[in-house]
Amino acid sequence: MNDTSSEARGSTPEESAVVPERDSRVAEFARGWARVVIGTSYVPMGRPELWEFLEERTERLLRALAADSFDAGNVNELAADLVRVHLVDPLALRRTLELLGSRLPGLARELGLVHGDTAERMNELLASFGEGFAAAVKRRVLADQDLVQRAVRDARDGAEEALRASEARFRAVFNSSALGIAIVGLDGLVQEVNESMGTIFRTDASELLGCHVLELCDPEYRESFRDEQDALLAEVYERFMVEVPFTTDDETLVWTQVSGALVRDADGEPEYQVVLYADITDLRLLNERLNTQATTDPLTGLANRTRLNTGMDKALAPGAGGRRVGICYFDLDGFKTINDSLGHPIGDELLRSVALRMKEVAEQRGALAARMGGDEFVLLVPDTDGPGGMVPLVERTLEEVRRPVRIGGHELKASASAGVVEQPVAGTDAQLLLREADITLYRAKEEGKAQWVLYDAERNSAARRRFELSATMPAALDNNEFFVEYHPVRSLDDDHVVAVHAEPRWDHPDLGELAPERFVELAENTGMITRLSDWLLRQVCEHARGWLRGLGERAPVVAVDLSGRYFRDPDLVNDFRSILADSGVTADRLRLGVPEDALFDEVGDPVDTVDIVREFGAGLAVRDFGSHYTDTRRLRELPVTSVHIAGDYLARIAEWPESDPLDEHLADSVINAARLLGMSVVAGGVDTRRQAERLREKGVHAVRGRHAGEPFSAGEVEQVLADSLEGSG
Amino acid sequence: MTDPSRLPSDVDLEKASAARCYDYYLGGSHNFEVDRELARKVESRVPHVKPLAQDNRAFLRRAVRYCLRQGIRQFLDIGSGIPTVGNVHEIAQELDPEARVLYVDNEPVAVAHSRTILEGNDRADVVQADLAEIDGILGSEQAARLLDPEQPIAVMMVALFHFVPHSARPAEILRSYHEWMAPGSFLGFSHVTSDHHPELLQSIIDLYADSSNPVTSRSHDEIRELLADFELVDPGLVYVPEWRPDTEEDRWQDPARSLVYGALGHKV
Repeated sequence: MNDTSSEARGSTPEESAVVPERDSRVAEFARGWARVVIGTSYVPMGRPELWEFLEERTERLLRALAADSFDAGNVNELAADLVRVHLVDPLALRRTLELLGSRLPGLARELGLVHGDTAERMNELLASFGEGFAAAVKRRVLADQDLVQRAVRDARDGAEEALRASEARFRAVFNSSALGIAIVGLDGLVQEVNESMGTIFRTDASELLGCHVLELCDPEYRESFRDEQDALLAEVYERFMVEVPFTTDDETLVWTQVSGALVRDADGEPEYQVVLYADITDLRLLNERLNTQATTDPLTGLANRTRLNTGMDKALAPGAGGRRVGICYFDLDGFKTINDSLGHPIGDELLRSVALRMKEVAEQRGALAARMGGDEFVLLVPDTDGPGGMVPLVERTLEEVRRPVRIGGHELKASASAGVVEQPVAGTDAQLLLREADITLYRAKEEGKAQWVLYDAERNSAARRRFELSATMPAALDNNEFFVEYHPVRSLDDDHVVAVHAEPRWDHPDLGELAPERFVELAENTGMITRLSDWLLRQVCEHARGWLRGLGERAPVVAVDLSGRYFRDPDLVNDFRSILADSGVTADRLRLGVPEDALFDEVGDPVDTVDIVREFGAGLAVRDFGSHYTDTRRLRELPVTSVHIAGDYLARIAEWPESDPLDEHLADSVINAARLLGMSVVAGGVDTRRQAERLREKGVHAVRGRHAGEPFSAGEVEQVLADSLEGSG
Repeated sequence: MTDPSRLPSDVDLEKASAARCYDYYLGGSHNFEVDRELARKVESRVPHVKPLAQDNRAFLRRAVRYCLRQGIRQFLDIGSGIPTVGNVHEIAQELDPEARVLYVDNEPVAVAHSRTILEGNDRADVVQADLAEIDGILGSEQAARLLDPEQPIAVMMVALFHFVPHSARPAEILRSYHEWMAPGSFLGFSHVTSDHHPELLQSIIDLYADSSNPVTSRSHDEIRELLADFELVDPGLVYVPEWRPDTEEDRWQDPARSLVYGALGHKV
């Protein structure tokens, strides 16, 4: 096909010279010729070029017709020119022969090239033309077919060569890959493996040949592996990937990541599988270690909150037959004291020992032990069968915690309190369970520590309210929600106000104004009492200073009740000293009301604070006088100036002479005891004149309560004193 | 660029090939019985399929010559098929022996064939690739040797895009080529349509559906949209017999029977 057109268009110079000018009739003839052959096959030239080409051929044909001797070769050649410009169709030949046969002689005669009969010459000419055309077409077809066959052969060779190269590349990958590669039949039998397979499975690679691919994975994983394989072979997936373990003969655990793909034959039918193995043992171990770190409490090795949450999610998942779950919330009693007195290293050691014991107990019972932080621990018990079943576990744990722990030279005896919740999983959640267990624990602490308490909806909700109140107390103090109210103490001798009794009150934003009964005991339980008492003393001293400035010697003595816990607090001394110093008030302006039992220690000796208070010069009043008869006589030794008595029986003696003799006796005995000790007696809760009369008769010196007057604020004290003088006349 | 794994299935002589049928319509002998069988079936349903194919080939010749007259001396003929009569390098190098041509086809036989034909011609070569593998084509050693991306080029995509289904994102492919072509370049483009003689084209589509080259017909608007990035040389997108015929005689009575739209795009 190379240069067919340019070659075909060529005509010999001497021929063109013979007919220098082209007759328009020749051109006309050529156009007609072009018209009948165009479209029989594609001729790679424009129509005008074809015209010219055919004009030249027409002229040569005319000369052949007119020549003295007929040159068959020349006509053969001429016909072959047509084939060279790709006039190759039999139809083109037929139409050409028809055209030449019917019109060439006439044209020759018109042009004056021939005269007479041309029939014989025409026969020769057409025969030669046909012969030349057919021979040229045959050559061309053979050449073309040869070319296309060669092209196919080349393409196939190229493909095979590429296949060989591809095969070689695959071999190189197969042999040198760090990945294990196995060729596995559709029957699952290993047909071929590379060296890395041997390395991964800790054996000689040849040992793996002929074994089933499922044998390269531990039995409990075979089913899932088989499912993946089946899906691949059923052509559900193009490839699969699984992670499976394999335990070698010497008990080494190897984790492999296995991916497989199906290889098809030329017809697209599955032929075999290529299965790749990656050794992910180290990766897996690393992941496990990271996972452990993320879910373990670093100090004790117990589960941390994260793992507890995961465990709770599992334990709380709904299951058949109404699952139940148990939670025990533990808190070490007095851990802060241990930490403070013996130091954190010892405290940490104690936590570790306790945690270890809890863990042992928990694991025996299929429970999870977790550290929540600080000295708080949780046991999660899945699938319990009722609250009763929790008891042995909880008691055993508390027992274990109580067992002495030797740390360095110390033998520590710890104890814990526990809140226990046991419920059906339906209708609860992890947050709720933990909160309820925490509140239950709070109740256990409230009720005396070193014990466990079972969840009780009603008690828990009361406890929760107290808990919430105590939890908001620190912020309330900061927000100045507390204030001091004063109650007059009125002498029954002259009816004058002889002292004022300070009382803290809480103006709670939600609950309104709260009397001290609502929060003082709570503050004692949570330790807030120290701050609260501190604040109260400061307030009172502040007020007292103001009164001294305004009233001089007429300023009243202030009675302040202190909680037993606060009174025994070794810090009190310093606090008291600094409060007095800050306010510039002398201690003799204060009378501190304390519970009787707070005055003595465990062995019955007066606590150190008593002496210090005496040194300062403050007066002491015993609040719950008469409740501890054994110690009463010892009050003589103490700087106690008065006793406070209160109680329903004091109200009932107002009904005399119909009053209960027992009430009369109780009142008499308490008042007499105080008088025998030389202390003045102040009675609280006195609301009526009649009541006051009766108490005066029995020897009470002063009273508080409605009879003594309504409570007032610090600024109103002058008015109250004035009224009192006026009233007494 | 070539994927050896797919070669064996490509050298498939049991399926008719569009390129070899085309050769048959042009009167070539580069075809096999399986191709001729299909071609004859088509001919029985569309009797003028030969002139139709020839006219499409003539469009290629006229477009190439037009580009040559505009000074273009480098050609990229994509989907060139088996080299039959009237190849681009013959047209171009007849006018200027220095003109350079790179053929691209994805069929191994066509490529092997072209390689044989082009033996000894150091200004023409062939690359085996898919139309969409533009980076592979333009990054080939042959392209580096023959084509100068800084100079205007004529990219020929004749009777090619109706083998590109919508799913292959033909517009994106064209856009990639457009981006690569230097300003002043041309795009020779022809495409079958069922706009006016749907029944004729449908016969061809049905028959070709089993071959290795299924056909997607597109309307005038769709084709114009594909060529949106190019300015079209006068007379625009028309049936190929109407595209700058050599003589009045070459016009068809019903040009729509050619079933093929042709256009020469110009990147300004």
